[in-house]
Amino acid sequence: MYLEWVVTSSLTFSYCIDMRFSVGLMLPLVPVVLAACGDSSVGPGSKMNQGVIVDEVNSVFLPNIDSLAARGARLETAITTLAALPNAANLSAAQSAWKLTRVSYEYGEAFSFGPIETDGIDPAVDTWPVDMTGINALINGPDSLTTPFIDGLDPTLKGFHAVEFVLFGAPGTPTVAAALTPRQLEYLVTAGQDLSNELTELETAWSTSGGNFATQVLDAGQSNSSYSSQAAAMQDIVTQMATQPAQVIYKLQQPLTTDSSYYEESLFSDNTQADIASNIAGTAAMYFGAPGSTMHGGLGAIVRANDPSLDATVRAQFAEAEAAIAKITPTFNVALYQDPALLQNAAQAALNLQKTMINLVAPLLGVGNAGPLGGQPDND
Amino acid sequence: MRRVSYVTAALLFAACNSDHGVTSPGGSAGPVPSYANDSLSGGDMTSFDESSTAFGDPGPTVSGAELTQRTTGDRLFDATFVPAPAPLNPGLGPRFDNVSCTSCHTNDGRGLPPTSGTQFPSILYRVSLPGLGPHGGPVPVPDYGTQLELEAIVGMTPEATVAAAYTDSTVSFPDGTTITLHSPEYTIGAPYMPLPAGVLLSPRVAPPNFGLGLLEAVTDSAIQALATAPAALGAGVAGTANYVWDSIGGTMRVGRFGLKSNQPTVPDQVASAFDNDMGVTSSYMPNEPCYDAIPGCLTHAPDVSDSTVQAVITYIRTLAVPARRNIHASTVQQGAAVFQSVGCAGCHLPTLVTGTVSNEPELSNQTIHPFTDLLLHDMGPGLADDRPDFGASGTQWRTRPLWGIGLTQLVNGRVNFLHDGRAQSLLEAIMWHDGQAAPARQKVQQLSTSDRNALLAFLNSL
Repeated sequence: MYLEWVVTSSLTFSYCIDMRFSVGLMLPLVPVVLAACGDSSVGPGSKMNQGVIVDEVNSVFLPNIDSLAARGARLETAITTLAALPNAANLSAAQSAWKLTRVSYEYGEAFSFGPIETDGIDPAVDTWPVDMTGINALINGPDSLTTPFIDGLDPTLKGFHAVEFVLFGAPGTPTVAAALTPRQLEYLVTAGQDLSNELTELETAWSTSGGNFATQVLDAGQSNSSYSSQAAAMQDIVTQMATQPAQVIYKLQQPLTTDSSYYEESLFSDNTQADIASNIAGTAAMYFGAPGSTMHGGLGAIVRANDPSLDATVRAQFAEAEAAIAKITPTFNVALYQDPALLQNAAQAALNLQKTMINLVAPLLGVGNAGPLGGQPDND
Repeated sequence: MRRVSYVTAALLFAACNSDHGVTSPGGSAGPVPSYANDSLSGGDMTSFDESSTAFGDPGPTVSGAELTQRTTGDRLFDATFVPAPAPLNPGLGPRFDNVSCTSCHTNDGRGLPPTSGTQFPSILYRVSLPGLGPHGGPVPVPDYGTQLELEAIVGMTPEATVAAAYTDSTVSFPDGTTITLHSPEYTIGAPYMPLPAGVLLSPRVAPPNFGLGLLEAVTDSAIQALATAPAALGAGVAGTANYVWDSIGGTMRVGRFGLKSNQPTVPDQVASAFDNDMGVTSSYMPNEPCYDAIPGCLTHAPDVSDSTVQAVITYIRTLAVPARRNIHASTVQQGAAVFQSVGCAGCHLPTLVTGTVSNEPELSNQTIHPFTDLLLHDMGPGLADDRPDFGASGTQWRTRPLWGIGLTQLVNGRVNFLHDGRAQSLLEAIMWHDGQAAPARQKVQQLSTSDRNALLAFLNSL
């Protein structure tokens, strides 16, 4: 279960300097374990739940999954253009397309359940670390770099970060368009196609004309859904939202505690700050509703209806986390070594949000720590 | 948090388990067995999660340093390894089957079988030659060992490819319902070294991870007692315990993990998986699964530390068992009575009690409902791999635990039951039962539509 991180309360990094993983803290009892017996009659009203589930699926999840596939296709096109004419402008355009695709992917990490896991899409596109030596060996080797060949490779040799490695270059050796070899370009083209194919596969898996996973979620509790109850679908959705800040904390904390840039999310492009900002944006969309959508307010609508004061706290903490992440400048890698307090401050802001989500929001929404949030911090 | 979570769990006991032990009428199938009314499949190690993360939760009473170590293990279970040297997670290969634990155990659940004409890396293939090998186990195949490594680092050749092809047959029920059974055949291709004649091949789809700490806490003597007291299980379903080599302990032990009970402990299982599945060595299993002249392959220092392996061991041991759902639904109650009356419970033993485990109160003295006797049973020629594994014959398989089985579709996005994942539904899996399980299968096949559906509803509530 990858969503389970334990975080410190004060982020005293000097204390954690030689620890791969930080120390968990013991916190007071979560007030209520609403989903404890799998009883869908507890927690927020089922009618309200259904409205929120519909809004989350139709206004947050599906638009982003569609956008992700479209941006992946544009990345593929940009790489093809680069391969046809490898100049600085086309390289820059391909790099921008890569970063734009990452925005959607990292936004969607806030709700990364379903086919992205069960169909093996996440490992195929977002495995880290990648095998840098192996990628270079492939490029310099004799194999024909067809898309089926790339698709059949183990995940350390393909996906976002493998493409990133060639497109941006290893640390200290940025890619220069004119120096890209024909084999590097051949690899980029097919690895880009494979990446785009995977993102399209995700879109298909959710769509009514494909795997129809969206209907599985929307019809939770009905005989055509693998969710035994509406509460089960809410458990998935709430758990994803409530634990995503912990993911952000991990991404901020690990490079600091290990003093290693190889724990940065997007090392080669130095795009980690943007990745993290997208993580929080996706989490916020689940809570507030997607900007410009017609939804009723996301999971936050339930919080607002039941505890306006808690809703105000969550809103303030989202704003604080977004602001702290925005202050990580000029880049994540530079801040890591020159101004680590920026990362610490962002991690602290994310931790504040995390604690509120786990201790107060998730229980109010019917998910307690005797289930999917077990092992999560709930106090300071 | 853990202390108060313990309080929480205690409250849940009162709330969820109030009618434990009640026996009520179950219609034509007979009385509803008392275990049918207990939702706490894992005792204190039960989680209340019916979402897609249901197989990955920690036990609610896991606490303190163990929880911290477990969290580290969780990260390591997900960690991707790459070939050495590398700045992060070096040690993959040179030959391997997958790059991380979670790649096979998706969401801590099942792996996937190969589709026709393809191979898929969340299944592994045991190989051996006829006869008895070291410690009475399988005979390693020269240049291959006892497991095929189907992947290799760039520049090296995998040991082989394996292709699957399926032959379909139809099973009919008295009410006119038909289902299709898919019988696989495997072909080894592209061997990197000559394969001797007579190689025995056994496909094994990765099983779920949860509840293994509890199963490990069932004492050897309890398993042996089940094997020597078959009357308690029912006529004709006597099982046998496997006795296997404990590589870490350096002794023979009762086997309980693996699809033929060929692993004795969680540490042996974990260290072996690091080594044989990923080519990641440790002090527990220091030898790479490579047999040709790869410079440095067999002689380097362990790829991971003991603490890394220990953290993953703790992670596995502390994975909770999901609570049952909808246990009071009339069809589920009816299905429990059917489950008991047709004889499923003879091997899929509903209840076991764990022993006392030092410093592991959450695993100790727990009444659990895994629906397994942890014993080997003859399952007939249709499921046979014809590959002995210590004391397990070519037709014997360990009774698979059924707890959590109703969440498989949600957790894994599909269902692929049995050792090679050939069964795409619970009913298909039942219809493959033969050998000692043939009488129970025949009874299921003759059930009324109502009772058959009730049986499936009961299984889906587990």
